[in-house]
Amino acid sequence: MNKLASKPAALLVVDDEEGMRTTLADILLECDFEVDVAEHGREAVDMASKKQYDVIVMDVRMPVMDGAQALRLMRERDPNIKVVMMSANIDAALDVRLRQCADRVMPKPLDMPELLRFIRQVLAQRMVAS
Amino acid sequence: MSERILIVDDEPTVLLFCTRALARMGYEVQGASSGEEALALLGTEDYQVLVTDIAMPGMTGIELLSLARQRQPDLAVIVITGVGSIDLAIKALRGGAQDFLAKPFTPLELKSAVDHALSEAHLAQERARLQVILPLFELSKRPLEYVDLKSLYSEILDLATQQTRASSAALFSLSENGGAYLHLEASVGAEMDCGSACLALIRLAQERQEAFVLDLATAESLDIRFDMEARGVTELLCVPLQAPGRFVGALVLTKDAAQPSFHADDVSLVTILSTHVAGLVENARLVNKLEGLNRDLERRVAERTRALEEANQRLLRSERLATVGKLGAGIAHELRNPLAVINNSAYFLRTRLGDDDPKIARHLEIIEHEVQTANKIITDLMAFVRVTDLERAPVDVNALMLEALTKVEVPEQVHVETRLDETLLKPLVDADKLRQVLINLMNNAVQAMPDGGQMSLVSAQRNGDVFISVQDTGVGIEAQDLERVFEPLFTTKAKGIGLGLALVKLLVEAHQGEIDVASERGKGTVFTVRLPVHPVLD
Repeated sequence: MNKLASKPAALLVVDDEEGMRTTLADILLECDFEVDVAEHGREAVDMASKKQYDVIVMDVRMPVMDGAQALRLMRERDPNIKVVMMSANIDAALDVRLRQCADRVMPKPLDMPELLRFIRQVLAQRMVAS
Repeated sequence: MSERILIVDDEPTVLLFCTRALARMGYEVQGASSGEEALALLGTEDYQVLVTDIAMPGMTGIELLSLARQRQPDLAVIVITGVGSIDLAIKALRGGAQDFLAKPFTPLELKSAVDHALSEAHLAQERARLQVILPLFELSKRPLEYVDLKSLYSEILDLATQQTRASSAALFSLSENGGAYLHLEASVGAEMDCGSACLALIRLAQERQEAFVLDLATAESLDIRFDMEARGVTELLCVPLQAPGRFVGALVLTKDAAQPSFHADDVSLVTILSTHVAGLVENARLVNKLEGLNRDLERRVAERTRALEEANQRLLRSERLATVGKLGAGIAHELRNPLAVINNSAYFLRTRLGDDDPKIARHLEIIEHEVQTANKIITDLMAFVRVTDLERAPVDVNALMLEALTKVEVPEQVHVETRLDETLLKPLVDADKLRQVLINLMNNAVQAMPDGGQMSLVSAQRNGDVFISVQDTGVGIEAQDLERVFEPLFTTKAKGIGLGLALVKLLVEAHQGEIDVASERGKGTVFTVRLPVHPVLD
């Protein structure tokens, strides 16, 4: 726990809506994570190529580059990257490949305890692995 | 046709003079020396002209004229009178004679009188034929569909009896359809039936294919003869009715002892009539058949139209709902993002402030709860979009009902009872969609019982259908609202926007099923879903 506290986990929040970016980032900061934000897929891909994030939380529908495309590019660079996809329209229509590609797909509004549980789980596994 | 003349005179010299004169002029002549002899000859042979002396011993010319006319109405008659008996000649003319010859007369005068009488007789015959043919022509002009066939047949039979002076007439139709069905279409005069004698007669007509006259002596069939005797029929005229390629029946005319025998003209007249009647009978048969086909066709068209209309209505309803759903879903989707932000904010505030102030914590909970409610409405609305995309598989409905129950918040004061048919067949349904149906019905049941009660979940099967009932002991639905509960946006609840049951109905119908509702105010409501186990899939 001490080790984790000394080196805070780095998270990236990707959403084109400012409200979403702000609230989600604030919640995650409150949990003592290090949080960066991006407005669309292209920006997120750039940021992920420069910095190692423990978990990326990304919207599906965005301008410039959507979440599905960004996810594909991130996976090409780093197959082990952990990505949670958020969508306001979770149903059968959601691309099956996206479901297979993402580590988690969560509907909006987000079930926050569930998201935090997932992030902590990923961090715990990473710690065990290292 | 050579003209045959019968000459009657008791004076042999006059008789000889006349017969020789006329024979020389090319006529076929027969002499008779008395009225009695002449009458006998008229009974056996055909004559066109009768030339008779008036003053004869025994039967007078006037008497002969009257009797001969009875037998043969179109017979031309010329009377011969002695000098100074012009009053007798006038009497004869009044009695129906065409002309008279005063003794002494020359051969030329005789010829001229005969020719004149013959041409008059021809004219009369033509007139008589026209009289027959004109009504026939009128009859044939009527459009068949407006004709009351029975009365048309009767008119024709009336015409035939009048013209032939028959005592009765009947029209039989024969249809062969695995067996022979003899049908009495119409009759005038004495009653006729379709007995064995009749069938024998019709068979005879079918065999001979032309008109024939039978009297008691010439009727070979005992059946027919006994029948004639029993009815007092002395003679009958039977004409086959021949439609193109088909024997359709026969026209039968009868005479009794009081009437003169059938004449060759009668036979030809009735033969003419019969061709017309045969056409009518055949047409009637075809019209009947056509009407039958038409009715059948109309019935099938009506059925198909109704089915199509129903399907169309269903399609329209689901399409309209799907359109509304699509629109709604689009808006709903946009609403989810701000909802998500509100939700996040509430969560953030709760982590910061919740522990300090219970009132703030309570309000943040309310915000979060309302976000969930709003989200639920959006989810319901979006469900309309993909109603008809079914992923069918055999589903254990009992298990699905129990699973759906776990997704429903059942308050403590509501008791749940299940009566599930363990042998239930597995219908081909979309499990996700049917679960949605069950959850919505159960939610409805629970909400109908704010003060508690019992919710019964029942499954059963009958005639290849699975039945699922969700019953509550709640407030019930007013009769006037009952038929509207499945309408979208109709609701009697304070909460909810009226999508739940509309979606349920849409989903059930997408499964080729049906949903029924029965309710009593204050007693409760039962929704019953019928699902075919083996739906007919397009």
